[in-house]
Amino acid sequence: MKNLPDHNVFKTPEGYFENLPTRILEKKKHRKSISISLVQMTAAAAVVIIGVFFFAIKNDVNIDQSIEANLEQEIDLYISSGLWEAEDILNFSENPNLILDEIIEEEWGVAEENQFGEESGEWW
Amino acid sequence: MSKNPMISISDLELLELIRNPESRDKGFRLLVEMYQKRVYGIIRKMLIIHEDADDVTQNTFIKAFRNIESFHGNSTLFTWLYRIATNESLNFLEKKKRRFFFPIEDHMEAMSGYLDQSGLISGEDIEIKLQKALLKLPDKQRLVFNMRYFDDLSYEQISQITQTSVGALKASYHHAVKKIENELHTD
Repeated sequence: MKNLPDHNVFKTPEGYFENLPTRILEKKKHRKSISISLVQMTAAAAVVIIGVFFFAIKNDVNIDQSIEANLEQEIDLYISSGLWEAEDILNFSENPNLILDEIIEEEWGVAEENQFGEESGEWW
Repeated sequence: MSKNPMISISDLELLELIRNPESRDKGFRLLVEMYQKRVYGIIRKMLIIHEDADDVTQNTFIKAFRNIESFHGNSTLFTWLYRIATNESLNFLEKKKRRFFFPIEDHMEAMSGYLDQSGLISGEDIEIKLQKALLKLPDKQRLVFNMRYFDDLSYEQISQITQTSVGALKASYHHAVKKIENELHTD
């Protein structure tokens, strides 16, 4: 090993070290501006995402409400045109017995009121 | 700032320039001008290819700029920069190893081919043979050999740079020399 030359075999292009400091400082500034614009872009993206999120929630409520209103109109149309019978509506329901109970109570209530009214009228 | 015996006057002046916002760019430029040849030298010996060494040298100084506040003067600026440069060089080679489509064997061939063909290599046959023999060493052993043989650093300096004990470094260098001698004799 002692007989081996240890001089540098690696050469650089002409003027390399004269330009290197300027290139490094430019790269440093460039990276800094990239990191700043990355922060700005991330902040902007976050604002847009939050905006879209709230817009979507608000619209979702509106969409739900309008779908419900349209559905009621449509059902009314099917019933009034005679396309759906009362039994059909009950079959669509998850709990037909509950609806029947409600209807009976409503009808009986009116009838009882009328009866008692009538009767009470008689009593009075 | 208290005077630290480990830092030379020029290091202190440089640090004061860098820490003052008005003279920061001037300080950074001076830092590069003072150490660029030595930093590039250690990186180039590890990476062989000028374009790779150029990239890693730039990244080394940019990393140094970003972390200059963490330099407390426990070593010289030169040792600190050298440590960043060696880490960056080893990381660069490690990334080449991990690339699926470009494994280390291919990169070794690329470096070996560069030694034969590039206009940015100039030396006697025996010097090129030595560089090719060095490429067969593990990266860290090659790094220790380069620092001791070509850069003439003391084991204590290498120990500070690599955070390795002097004994381990001596053993590593001894093994490297044996391997290179065998390699050159078989050729």
